[in-house]
Amino acid sequence: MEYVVFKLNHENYTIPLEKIKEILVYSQVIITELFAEEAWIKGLINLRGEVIPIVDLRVLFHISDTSISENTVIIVIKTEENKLIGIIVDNIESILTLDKQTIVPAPDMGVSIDPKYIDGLIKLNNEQMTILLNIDSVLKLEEPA
Amino acid sequence: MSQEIRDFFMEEAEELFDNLHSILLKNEEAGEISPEEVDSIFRDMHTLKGGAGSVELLKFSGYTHHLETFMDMVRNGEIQLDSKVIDFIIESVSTMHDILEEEYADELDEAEYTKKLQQIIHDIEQIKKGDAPSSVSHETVEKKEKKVREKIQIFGDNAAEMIDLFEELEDEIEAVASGEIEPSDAISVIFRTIHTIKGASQFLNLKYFPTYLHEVESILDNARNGDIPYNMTFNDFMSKVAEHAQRLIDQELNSSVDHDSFHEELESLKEEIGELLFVLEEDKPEEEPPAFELFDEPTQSAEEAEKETAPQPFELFDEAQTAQQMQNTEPVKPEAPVAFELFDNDNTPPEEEPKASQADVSSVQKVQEGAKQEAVQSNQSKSDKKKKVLSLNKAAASTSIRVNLDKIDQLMNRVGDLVITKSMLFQFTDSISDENLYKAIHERLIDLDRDIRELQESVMSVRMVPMESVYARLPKMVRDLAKKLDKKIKFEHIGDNVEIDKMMVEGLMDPLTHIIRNSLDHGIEKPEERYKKGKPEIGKLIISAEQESGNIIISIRDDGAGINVDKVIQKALDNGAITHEELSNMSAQDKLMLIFHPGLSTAESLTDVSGRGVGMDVVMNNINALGGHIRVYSKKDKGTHIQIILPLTLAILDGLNVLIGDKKFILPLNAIVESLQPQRHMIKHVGENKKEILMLRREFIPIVRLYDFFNIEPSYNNLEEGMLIVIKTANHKVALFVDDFLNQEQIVVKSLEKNYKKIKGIGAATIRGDGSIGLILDVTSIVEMYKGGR
Repeated sequence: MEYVVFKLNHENYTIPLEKIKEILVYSQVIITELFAEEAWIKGLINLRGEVIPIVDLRVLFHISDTSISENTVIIVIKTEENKLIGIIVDNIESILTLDKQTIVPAPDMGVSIDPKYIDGLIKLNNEQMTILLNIDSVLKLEEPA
Repeated sequence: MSQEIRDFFMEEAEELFDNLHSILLKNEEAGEISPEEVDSIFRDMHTLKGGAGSVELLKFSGYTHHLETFMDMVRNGEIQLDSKVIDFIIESVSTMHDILEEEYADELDEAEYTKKLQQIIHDIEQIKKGDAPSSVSHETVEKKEKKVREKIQIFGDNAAEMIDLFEELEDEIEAVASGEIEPSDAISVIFRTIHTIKGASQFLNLKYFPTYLHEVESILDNARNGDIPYNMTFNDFMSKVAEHAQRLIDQELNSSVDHDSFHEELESLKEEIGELLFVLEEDKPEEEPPAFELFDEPTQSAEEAEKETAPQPFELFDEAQTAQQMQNTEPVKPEAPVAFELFDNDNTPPEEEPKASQADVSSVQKVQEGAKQEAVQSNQSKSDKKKKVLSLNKAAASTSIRVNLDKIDQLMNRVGDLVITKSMLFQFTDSISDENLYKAIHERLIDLDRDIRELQESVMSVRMVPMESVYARLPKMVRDLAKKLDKKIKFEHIGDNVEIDKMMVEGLMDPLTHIIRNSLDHGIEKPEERYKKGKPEIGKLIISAEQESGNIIISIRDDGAGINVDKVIQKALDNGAITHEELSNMSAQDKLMLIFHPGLSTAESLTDVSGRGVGMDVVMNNINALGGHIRVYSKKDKGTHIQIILPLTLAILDGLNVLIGDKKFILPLNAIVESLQPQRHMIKHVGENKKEILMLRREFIPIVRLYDFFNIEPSYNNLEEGMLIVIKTANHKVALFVDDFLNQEQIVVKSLEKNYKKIKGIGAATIRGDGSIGLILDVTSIVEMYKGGR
């Protein structure tokens, strides 16, 4: 299976490629602010006539640095509920082909984000670890505990 | 059994039940049902039975069978209809419906079912005994014609299907003739197609045609079983039969077939079958008698074949059918070609038909007769009554097709995109500095704008369905409720043909049900009470629909006791729903609107019909969700009149752009009452929190500062510098404070829930001219939240 690795505040996260509908460059889209109570909802964009909400994963994961650079992208995800939701990430790192066996369960501790968002850990070639995100559970968008 | 097919059947069944109910209830009072309607009932039951059988709802199918048989007896005049019999049918149909639902949900109680089954058998026996056979009453011609017009609709759909089937059949035969398919492989396909055509023709109310096809089917069956070979000769025969069958159906639709001419046709078919069998028989041994050479030639035309072969003596063949037929008919030999001559002639003297159909008591034929006349009328005007033919093609061409709602939605979306692109263009032209160029482009854009609006209207009209579809279930509901409540009610619906957005039909059902229930339960009094008040014992409930300047207005009127305003107010005060202070500011209309307040019910006791006080606020919410509003008028002992005002469509609305700080929002135009720049003396501060109130012509309207609501830095904090827009929701007026308002524009509504969820204060989104998203304010939720103490 193919996976996309992206960076959020120097940390690597991975999601299955098949979940991704589209990748947009942040600086090229117009985001309309929603004035929602949830701070992690950045706003709405128009993707060829579809109204798509944009979630700032960095806010959702309590990362304080939410600066935008030319590398910042929006990954449009098709969720299991068939909704299209865009997530803001710092940059796309790489695309990998992985065996399912290389995925190891995540330790209960030492991970900065809510364990229910995590499907496991993947060891990258350069001995770095990356978190395999359960993007569907992330994008259920329930209030983080 | 796949669940999908079952669900599909259930859907269809609901429609059929609606139809049954509407016919039955319409005629309940009169105590008689026109033959066409009896026919329609019979057919619906037949379809229900057959359909249920195929999805293995056998209990239901079994029950329906008895009723179908009963209806058949009614149809044949063995049973005379009166209001008691109709009542029996209505009750039985209700039971049918119950059984279907139970069996579908797998909750059918065996013993209960057996009891019901025995009951209906018993009842039918009783009715049979009680009534001497006599003919079914006939209705006047005018009434019949009206009915016929309704039927043509159904008729067209089936006719279209029939044409497809015939084309299919021809293709299949052609494929065999050209050698694409081995004849032996084709037989089962052809058999199936013929069978389907036969089945479909029954929906067309045809009498002779199916009989004809039946004959064809039996010979095909023999071939399918391998008793006789299906070869080129047979195939040629089939191609001829297909041609005749098509002609026959056209003629029958045109009512130019009567009993005699049909039998001639049938005879000639049988004769041909006989010949075919003979030839096939001959085919088996090698030598071919030269006499049949012509017949075997594939290039030979059908007509020639007939004429050549018809004189062949058919006594030669020992086909059972043929032999049997011989006994009761005159020698066909000389007649057969004559019969075909008649049939080939499209200009069969029309004078013959009325006689023919009058002679025949069958209602089936009368419907066709009527259908034909209908078609003829339109034909006459066009082509100097040259051809009085209603052919399948015409019937199909004149009516509708079924289209999936998704497709219409897609179409609608494309039009929406066009609207957006158009506004982008308008925005772009504003930046053109060259005066002449600007003018030239702008003019053309205005043309484009008009065209797009027209296109939009056309697409919109596709989504429209007649109010009939809303009304369909109501009469049955009113009847049942009235019985339950022991009240006498005359229910009328007006404006069946007024069209309404299909999307709204669902949202409208609940509110209407609640309002009608309320009218029946609390509005219309019991007969004794009405008598005492000097009113007619039978209460009136009228629902009507009309279109007026971009809105649909649905009115529900009763002549009951009216709303007891004092009681409603008392209850509202007791519940704390309103304060005395608020009350003093309320208009008469506002007070009446309190009935839609959650938790208020004036019913002295709870009945199982209504009265828990949850109903009416559902009404309000649903109607608001549809973008509509409600008005109530009521007079003591005169009755209540509830008006629902709905926009024509949900997909596109006119909006006003408002500015809060540097953010633009869209306010639906239909919510706006007025806008003004307030002056100091118009603003009052009341209560502990110094709530701001706008005093406008002696009315006190609370002010909501929208920038506060959305946490936006405004351009103006001072109310006198900005604008107040007075909006109206169900029972409240609120003045929204915005910095400014800009242009008005037509916007395409895009749901937020599709990819996200509801957001407070924002009802939906749209796409602006520059491709960005625009937010549409949800007026109702803003008002609710404001009231909720925000």
